Amino acid sequence: MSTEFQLQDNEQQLEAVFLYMGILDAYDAVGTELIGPNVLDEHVLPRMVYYVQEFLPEIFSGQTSADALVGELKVFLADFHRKVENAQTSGSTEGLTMQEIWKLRAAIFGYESVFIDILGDAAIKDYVFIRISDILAAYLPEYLLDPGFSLAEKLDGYANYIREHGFVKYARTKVQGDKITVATNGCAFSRIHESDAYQNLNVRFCPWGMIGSAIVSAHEGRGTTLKSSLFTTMGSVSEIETQ
Amino acid sequence: MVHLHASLRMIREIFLIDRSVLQYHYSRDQSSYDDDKAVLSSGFLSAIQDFSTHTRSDALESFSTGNEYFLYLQCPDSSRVLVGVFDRIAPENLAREAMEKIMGFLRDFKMPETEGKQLLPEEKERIQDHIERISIQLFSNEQLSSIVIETLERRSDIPLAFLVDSNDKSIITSFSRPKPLFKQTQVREFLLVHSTLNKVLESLEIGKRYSYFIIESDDYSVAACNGGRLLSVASGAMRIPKENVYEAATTICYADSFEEEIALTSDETLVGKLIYSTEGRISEKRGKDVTQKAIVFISTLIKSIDSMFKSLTRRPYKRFFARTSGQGDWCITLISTSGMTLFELHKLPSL
Repeated sequence: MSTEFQLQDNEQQLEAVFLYMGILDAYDAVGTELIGPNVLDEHVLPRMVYYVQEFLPEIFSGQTSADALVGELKVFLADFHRKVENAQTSGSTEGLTMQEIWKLRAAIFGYESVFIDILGDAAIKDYVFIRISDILAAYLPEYLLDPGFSLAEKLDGYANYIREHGFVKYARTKVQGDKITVATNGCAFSRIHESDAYQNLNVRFCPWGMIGSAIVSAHEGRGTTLKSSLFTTMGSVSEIETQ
Repeated sequence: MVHLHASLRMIREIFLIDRSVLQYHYSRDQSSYDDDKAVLSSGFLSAIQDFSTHTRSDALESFSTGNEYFLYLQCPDSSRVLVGVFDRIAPENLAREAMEKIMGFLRDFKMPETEGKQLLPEEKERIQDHIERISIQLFSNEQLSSIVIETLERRSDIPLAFLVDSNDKSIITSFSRPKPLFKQTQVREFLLVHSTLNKVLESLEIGKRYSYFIIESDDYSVAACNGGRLLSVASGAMRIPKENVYEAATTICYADSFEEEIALTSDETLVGKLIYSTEGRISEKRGKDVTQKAIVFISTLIKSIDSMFKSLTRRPYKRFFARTSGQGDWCITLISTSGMTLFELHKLPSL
């Protein structure tokens, strides 16, 4: 997998990993805001083990005690954060592969599932996604924040960006009044769609839609929410709405 | 009680003397200090000042020795004198600011009126604690920074905050959750609002600095406090009440005191009104006469507030409120709606 999706440009690869990791950081920050400073340790990690284990059994040592699994998951997330921070400091993606980003995707799914579980669908749409979009805007590359470009131009640029760098084989965005659509196909992380843990959930959100929502929010200066993501075997269609 | 390493403490001793009688004494080595020595020292310090006043016809303001220097500060409308002893390496402008802050704190403190009567131990401890907070605030950026970060890590409502040194415009510390939420440009945008607001107050002939300002949209609030050397900015999470964000900004300004509650304005306090169009032109003018220069500064302020708020929250601002320090003071409000901005100047009643 790591060779199939290996990105060409070091700097842009880092930029993409940073942006993707922003989703995990934003979940963490919003969890702290809504539940408290110990949200990760006390509420998220114990519930997240099940979802992450579905996709990343390799990070666990095979121990069965819930506490031991939580401890291992915590170490994995801390190590991953450190790895990305080191990559940013050194300006090199050495040691970071698409396999690593795949792990990140699984962790994001874990967060999302736990949040839906703890907070409920309404809180996710009324608060969490609006706030995540605002936080994620701090991770966007400068050109996606430039007021000199129209929203359609920025979304087109974003679609090209994820396509050209191997995250998806196809991406399209559409702006129609207050409704924005982000559609992707041939996604590098779509194997997550096949698992039972994923299919058993009624509500799921695509990270490409979440990043699209951040672009809209930063451009419009208004609260933006990822209304829904419809998943296909290899892709998704996300609907974004501004308030 | 604040504990700190002695080497970081530039304030060695503080004496509060009233007509040669020692009312309060602080020493950074409190545990080993001899009370008799403090009484003796205060007698010498008063005698030196008396000598200067009576034989040289000039009030003594400072003197120095090899390792330390002494600053005198007369309490306004009182016979009390504050004497501070500082490490030689302590910057004098900060030492003078420390003296003003300590004097401000002690001014409100009720000292025993009967000679020989002592302050209660808990009162002494409160004063000592405050002096040590001022010491950290002015002389130890490192400790101040860790205190601010620890404070904000414990709360969940303030994802972004920073402290700036107004003397050299440097960032003392910043806190953000997650880290990329903080950008250097936010500090630049804030400093622009800070200096533009000062220009507005100057051009309106309000001879005071601002104490705090608050910027709001429907979802977000940002508060900034002006503590003299320290300027603090706190940005709240979505839908956090402005009162909480203001309280956070005052807390991280550390040893400075601010009004406990945000001031209220009404039609009775209104003294002047301007309406700006989106192009920055005046479409209506009422009340206090405002100079052309002030009109230009206000229009720059409107622009800089919007930029600062967008850099912190990604939203255009809707309301701005600023208040000057002290009693009988001034407030500035700005309300932004599509197509116009309403500027109001209020004079708060003296208590």
